[in-house]
Amino acid sequence: MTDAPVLDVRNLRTVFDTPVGQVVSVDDVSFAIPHGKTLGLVGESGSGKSVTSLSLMRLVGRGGGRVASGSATLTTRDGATTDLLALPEKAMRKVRGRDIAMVFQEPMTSLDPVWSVGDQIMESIRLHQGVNKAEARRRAVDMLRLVGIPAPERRIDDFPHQLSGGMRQRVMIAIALSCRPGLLIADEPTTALDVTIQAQILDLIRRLQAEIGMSVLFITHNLGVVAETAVRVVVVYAGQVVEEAAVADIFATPRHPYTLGLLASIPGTSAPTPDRRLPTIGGAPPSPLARPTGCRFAPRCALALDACRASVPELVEVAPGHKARCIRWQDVRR
Amino acid sequence: MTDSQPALLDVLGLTKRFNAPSNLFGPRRQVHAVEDVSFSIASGEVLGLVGESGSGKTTVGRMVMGLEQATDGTIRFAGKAIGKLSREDMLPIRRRIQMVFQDPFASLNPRRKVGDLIAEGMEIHRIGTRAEQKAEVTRLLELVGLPADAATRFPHEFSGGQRQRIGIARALAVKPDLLVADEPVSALDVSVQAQVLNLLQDLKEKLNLTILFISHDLAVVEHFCDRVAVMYLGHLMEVAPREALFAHPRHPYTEALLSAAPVPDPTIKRERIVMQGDIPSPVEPPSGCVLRTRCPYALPACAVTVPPLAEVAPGHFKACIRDDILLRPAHADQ
Amino acid sequence: MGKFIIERIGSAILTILGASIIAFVILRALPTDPARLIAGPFASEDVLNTVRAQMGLDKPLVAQYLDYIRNFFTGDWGYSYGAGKPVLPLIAERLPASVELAVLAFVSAFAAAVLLTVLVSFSRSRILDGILRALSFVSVGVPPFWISLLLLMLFFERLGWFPGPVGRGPAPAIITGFYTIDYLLAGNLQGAGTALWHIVLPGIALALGSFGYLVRLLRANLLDVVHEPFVTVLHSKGVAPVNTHFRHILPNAFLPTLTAGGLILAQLIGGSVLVEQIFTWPGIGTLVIDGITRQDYAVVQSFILLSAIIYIVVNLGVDVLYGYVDPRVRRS
Repeated sequence: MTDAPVLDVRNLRTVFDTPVGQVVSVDDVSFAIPHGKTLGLVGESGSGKSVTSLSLMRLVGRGGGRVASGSATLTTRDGATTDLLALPEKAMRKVRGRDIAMVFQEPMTSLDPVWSVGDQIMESIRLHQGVNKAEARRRAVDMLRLVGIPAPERRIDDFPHQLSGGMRQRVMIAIALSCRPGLLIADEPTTALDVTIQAQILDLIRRLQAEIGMSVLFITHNLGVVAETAVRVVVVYAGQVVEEAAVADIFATPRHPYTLGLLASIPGTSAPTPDRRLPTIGGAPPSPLARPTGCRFAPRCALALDACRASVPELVEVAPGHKARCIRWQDVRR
Repeated sequence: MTDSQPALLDVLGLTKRFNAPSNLFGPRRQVHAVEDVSFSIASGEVLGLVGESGSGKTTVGRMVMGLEQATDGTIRFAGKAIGKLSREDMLPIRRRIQMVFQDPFASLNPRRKVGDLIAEGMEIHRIGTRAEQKAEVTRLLELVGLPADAATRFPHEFSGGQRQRIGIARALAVKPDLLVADEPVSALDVSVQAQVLNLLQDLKEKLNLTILFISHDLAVVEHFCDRVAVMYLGHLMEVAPREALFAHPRHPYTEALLSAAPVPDPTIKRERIVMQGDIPSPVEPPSGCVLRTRCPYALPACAVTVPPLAEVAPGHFKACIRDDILLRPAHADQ
Repeated sequence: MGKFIIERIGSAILTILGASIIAFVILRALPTDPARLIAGPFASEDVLNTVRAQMGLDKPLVAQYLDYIRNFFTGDWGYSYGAGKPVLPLIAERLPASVELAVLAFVSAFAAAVLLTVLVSFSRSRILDGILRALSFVSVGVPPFWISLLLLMLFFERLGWFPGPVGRGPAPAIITGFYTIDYLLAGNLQGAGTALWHIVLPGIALALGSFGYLVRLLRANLLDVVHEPFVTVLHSKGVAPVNTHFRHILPNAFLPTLTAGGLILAQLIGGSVLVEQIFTWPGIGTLVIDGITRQDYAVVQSFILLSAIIYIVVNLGVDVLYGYVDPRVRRS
């Protein structure tokens, strides 16, 4: 167990060149994923959280995007460090699936419908571990058992359509973990699942994390899930990091009006009012093509001043290990 | 059931079975979507219908709307049985029951202007002249918090939350008495969800709406509803007033749902009752109590008969043969 | 899987029976009196009655239908007054010519379409894609008879590279009826070569339309599949682009192409009349046209049922193949 973070992201900037202009999806985002722990990346639609994970995996090209600048230093299990964003594509392909693995949101469409689930797990194993077919199959059965699929020797030859959503997500996790990656990027892995199944999957990820000593980047918009799984939280809004802190601090003493507003708008977190209304953040996030100069949250912020609109606030340290991008952070209270 | 006010909607023994695709030579298979569901909603009340996938809650909503024909059971709206009415007889009823759908992207015809979509109901029911309809559209847009010029634009120009507002405006155009809201906020971001919930609360009070609120999100249901009915695999498990359900759940399934939902508070670390296994197929539901295959409190007797919905406290009903288990409520540690 | 195949065969048999009823009813509904046709315009009523009795036209319809079915299975498919032979041997003589031509044309079209489309889509080159699309538009738009004439003019008359519209060329000892196979079975490579040489021009004429259609279909399917989420997942596993494209994307995109392919093949077998006419190809297309113009009842009736059977059998093959390729279909 080292103290060095397993992934150190600095000044990541990802852009999409569209016919109507350049969209900066991820704007100077930095964070560090602690070794063996979970970092929660919280944001709503358009915040850039998913693009961030795809950028780290160097998969944004498929959608027409590119990483414009920044570094992402990965520390692998044997202690070696590499900058993911500077690797040639062939080397990056070795990293994918072996050192970093991903689990996506939609279990129903994330598996190849005409390959058996066993073959899809074995594909990863044979690709990165270079074992023969029989050995790969043995390991695949072990993985299925590890993720809690009953009768794995039989189900290994099942096809995705024969499995429920929860089971498919377990298979996805089995594929992701089959090569014992040091880092798992989970992009909304339970959003499409039922509540009781979600609980099972979160338990599973937690258990496996402890067993194989894995770090997790958990991307979600669900603050309840974050509270349960993460030790540190990074909140993103309109492509920027607006707050970063230990999980207890984010919930107890948020220092950015957006974080505060987000927490308050969850039903059940604030004291119920007699008129049965939830506190809300008025308005909507800015369009990526028409972002305000200055603080991007200012148009919706109750504490906004002219100084806020003049220039983008810096991310300042408001307490040890706690940063916020707000000049009025002292006035932010629950 | 409150006796003080007359029930606007009265559902008795509602059952729906679909024919499942079967082989040329195999036995006839049926999907038991809804089995013997009974409840009523008083005028001005909000009843939450909670369940996971396969619970049948959406099918119940569709039957109330007249979009599906019940296999068995009766639906009474304002005292009149509406299950078997002809198309002409059903038309005036349809005006009084409207639906808001889950998917703000799929429930609006992308080829029609927003104004036309909202006015469509008025046209069908021949309410008002063209000029009056146009004025009403403007009024409705304002009511749901959208600018008047939205009427000339197309759905794809709006965000998810805005489209949901359009869907609500459309439903309200014909001034219904009962609104069936099928997961109206599930597809929305947290902050937008809060806005739409507040909007629904405003409209409910202003227009004295009665609402059947279908959802899988217990926190939202706890915030918004007066009474709650919990469904699993087509059966009602528990029906109770809101405070009673959350403070004193009487059914193991309710307990499981409550404990599975992640709480946005990292200081609460509790031993979670994770309900094991997957939801069984509705084509071959378990005999007796359908929950017994996953219920931690199941007894052999549970397989024998389907437990009836019995009143255990005023207005509080449960379908479970066991009276001796102490169940953990929500917010146990607060 | 076995159950799946049996079910499919069962449906196929039922469909064939249905087609036979329709074939039977349609011909009985025609205004021409078959007895008059056979006996000639000057025959007396007595002669007509004798002919009717001979053909069984005086029996009730159900009895006629049962006769028809019984005859079908015993090989009595009627008598072609135009050709002066029983129908079954006539068809047996002509069918292999059509099948050989259609199958070779189809296989070439299919292979070329798949190869080109997959390579072009893998290259991700917009220029190549544009060229392929243009090619497919032209192929689909060109009428087979026009291209036949064009091919003959250019490659036979002008250049002399291929034989003219003389049909299949010299026949080998008939075993299967397929000249290429029969020559090979006899160990005569040169003969097989000659047979193929005769097939080339009519084959191209037939293949072009299929080629264009298949290219368009497969291209659209590939585009759809490329954007599916599971492809992103494959990339995130570190699977190389080559494997992603050929072992994952292609099988998924291939399925609708397979179905379309079956329909095309069936149509080519029975529907290549114009090309057969121009090249004097002794296939069933020309046979049925002659039958129609001569109002040769038995031939037309048999042909209707035969085409239905060809379609059904080809589709049965496609279904079974589909069951092998797509696991979702296998488990009914």
